[in-house]
Amino acid sequence: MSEWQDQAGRQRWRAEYVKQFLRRYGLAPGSLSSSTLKCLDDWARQVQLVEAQPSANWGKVVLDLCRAVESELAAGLGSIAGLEFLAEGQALGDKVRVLRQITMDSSLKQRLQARRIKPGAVSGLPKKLSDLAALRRSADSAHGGAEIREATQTDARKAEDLAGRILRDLIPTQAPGKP
Amino acid sequence: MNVLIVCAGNTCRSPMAAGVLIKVARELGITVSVRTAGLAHDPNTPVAAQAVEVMREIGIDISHDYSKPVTDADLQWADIVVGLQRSHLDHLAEEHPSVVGKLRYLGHDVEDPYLGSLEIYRATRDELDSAFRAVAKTLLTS
Repeated sequence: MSEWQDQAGRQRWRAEYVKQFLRRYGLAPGSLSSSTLKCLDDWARQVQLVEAQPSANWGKVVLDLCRAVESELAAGLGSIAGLEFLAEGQALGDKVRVLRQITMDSSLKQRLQARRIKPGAVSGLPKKLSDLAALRRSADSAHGGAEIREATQTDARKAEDLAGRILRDLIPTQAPGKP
Repeated sequence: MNVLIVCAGNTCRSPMAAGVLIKVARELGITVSVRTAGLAHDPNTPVAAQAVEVMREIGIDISHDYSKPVTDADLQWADIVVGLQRSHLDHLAEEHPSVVGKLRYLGHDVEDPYLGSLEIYRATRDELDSAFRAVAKTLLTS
């Protein structure tokens, strides 16, 4: 172990950072899929890297939040009949376009309600997802996508709020009578 | 010896550190090749003007450098990798566990001077100079 290494401490910091983020939106880590939690851990790790360094690019922080949202979209809504495209590999912007065209008919409403997801929350998703996608400024490049276009801490804060609100919409409400 | 120096943006600290290290190594009669890279960089951004200016004051030209990502090729090329903050090394160790043995810390974090005054950049330059003078022999002959 080198003098600078504290892997366990870093992991604890990240777990707490993610927990606090989720708590602000009334969520608990256990309510999210494991792949989403992995994306949020990556997000926290990137925050650990760039915080208090004004020369850093916050682009990957935004990207990791987008990945977390896409992961939860796939794990949750993407498993509901008629919304399977959310689990496919399209870009977030493309998913938003398809989602906008979805008609919220009674059968889809019933399928959502059966999963304790509010249909109204789903109707509001395209706008929030679109705002999030606009903050995602990743660029393919000669470095195989390794280059992330410039994003500021302000972009990252906006993405954090959008991601929190989207995740809240995606998580089933508690069953009646449950504490 | 091949040395890769990393920071976050690769526009201030690492280019300045490279300039300083080359100068210190030359004074010690040690041959080094130095590359720089950023762990969270904006692509192809030139070195900050203040960094270029304060390095020019001590006869070092770093105006040719620009921001680049840390690549596998860089990590393979390097005999040692110097991180200018502990968090840079921690991040590298997690992302590239195979290079842990190459990672070197200067013993303290060098703060990011980005958008600071020339005085702040001078302080960073001098801090890098002192840090490398203190460890150069050990660092470059280990």
